[in-house]
Amino acid sequence: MRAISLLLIFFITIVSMTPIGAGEALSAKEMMEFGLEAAKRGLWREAAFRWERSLKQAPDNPRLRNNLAVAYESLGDLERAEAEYREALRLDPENKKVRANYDSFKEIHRARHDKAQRDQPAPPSGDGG
Amino acid sequence: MPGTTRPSATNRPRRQAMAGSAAQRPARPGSAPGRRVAPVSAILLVAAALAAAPAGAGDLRVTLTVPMPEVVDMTGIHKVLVTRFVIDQEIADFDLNREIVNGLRRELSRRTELDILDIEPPPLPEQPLRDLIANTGFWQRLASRYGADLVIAGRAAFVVSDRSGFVQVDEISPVTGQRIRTSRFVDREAFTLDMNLFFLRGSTGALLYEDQLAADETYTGLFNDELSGLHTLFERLEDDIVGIIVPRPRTVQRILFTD
Repeated sequence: MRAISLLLIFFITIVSMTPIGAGEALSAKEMMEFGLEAAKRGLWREAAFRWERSLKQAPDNPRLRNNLAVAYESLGDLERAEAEYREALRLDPENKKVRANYDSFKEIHRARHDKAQRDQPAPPSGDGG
Repeated sequence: MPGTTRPSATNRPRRQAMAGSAAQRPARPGSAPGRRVAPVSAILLVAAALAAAPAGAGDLRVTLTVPMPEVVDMTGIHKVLVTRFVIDQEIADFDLNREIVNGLRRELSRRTELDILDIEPPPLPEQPLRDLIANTGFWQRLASRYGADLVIAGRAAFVVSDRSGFVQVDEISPVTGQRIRTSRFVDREAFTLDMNLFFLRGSTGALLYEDQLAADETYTGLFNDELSGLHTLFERLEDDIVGIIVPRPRTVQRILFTD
């Protein structure tokens, strides 16, 4: 157990010294993978951080926005989660998996969603729900 | 606690929190060569990576625990008055109204920060329930008398019904040794709890929210303990009732894309 801990600390150090924030940046794909690894372990804050960075390189990637929405949702940041789901669907309206995520999101957070809809003076477009 | 992330992990610095993931990531081009990994550790890390493998190509299903918001906007609501309930049919062995009201007050006290007024539940006038709910003046006066920000009223019905009948059972014939299907009469009874709940704002008497909740259970045999049955059914509805006025966690599945 101690050996594994030391090994992990070693890797933390290595990763900490990798070029994020330095000249050579990780590719969007690598960031995506990095975020997934974090998400698999329930490290949603880390996953969101990675995907946010990745989004800067690929802002029109609906799959990335979907993942970011899930991360925000798990962190309880429902406003941003909804915004990312909606943007993902705007970019890829036919994507059934994104739609399934968003439909479930809306169902669960219906009360908040309905309240937000009521509070808005007028919706920007004809959004039926 | 939203998400499956543990506080100890999320509160750590980002890179530290990412330790496990970094260790299991395939080596990136240009990463430090010649890293040595102890054989046992390497096996453990590979095993962990396999356990977290994606369920399907291109996507990964994950389970989240998300906070489900309360239904009623509880801003400014601290004191809650639970009135007597309208009972469809009295039960001979116990006071259904008392059981329901006490159960409701107990759960709200235990699971919320609200001040649930510990008083004899005020009775409701004999009036059709819908008319009474629409009578905002009545609720406003009632709330004012007890200093309540929220009034919870309702209707409850507890029904015992006979569900005895013939059922088909498979058994081995003692004569031929073959499996045969026979019909057998079985005594069964069902308990059903059906409730309407009304949440009214004390300051205005306006109805904020109403819900209908029901649960039923079928027992083998007759003359089962009705009070135990009632409590079992009420327990089943407790989460839904409390979730109307306080947020509660809920487990959901989401799809992540892996590429």
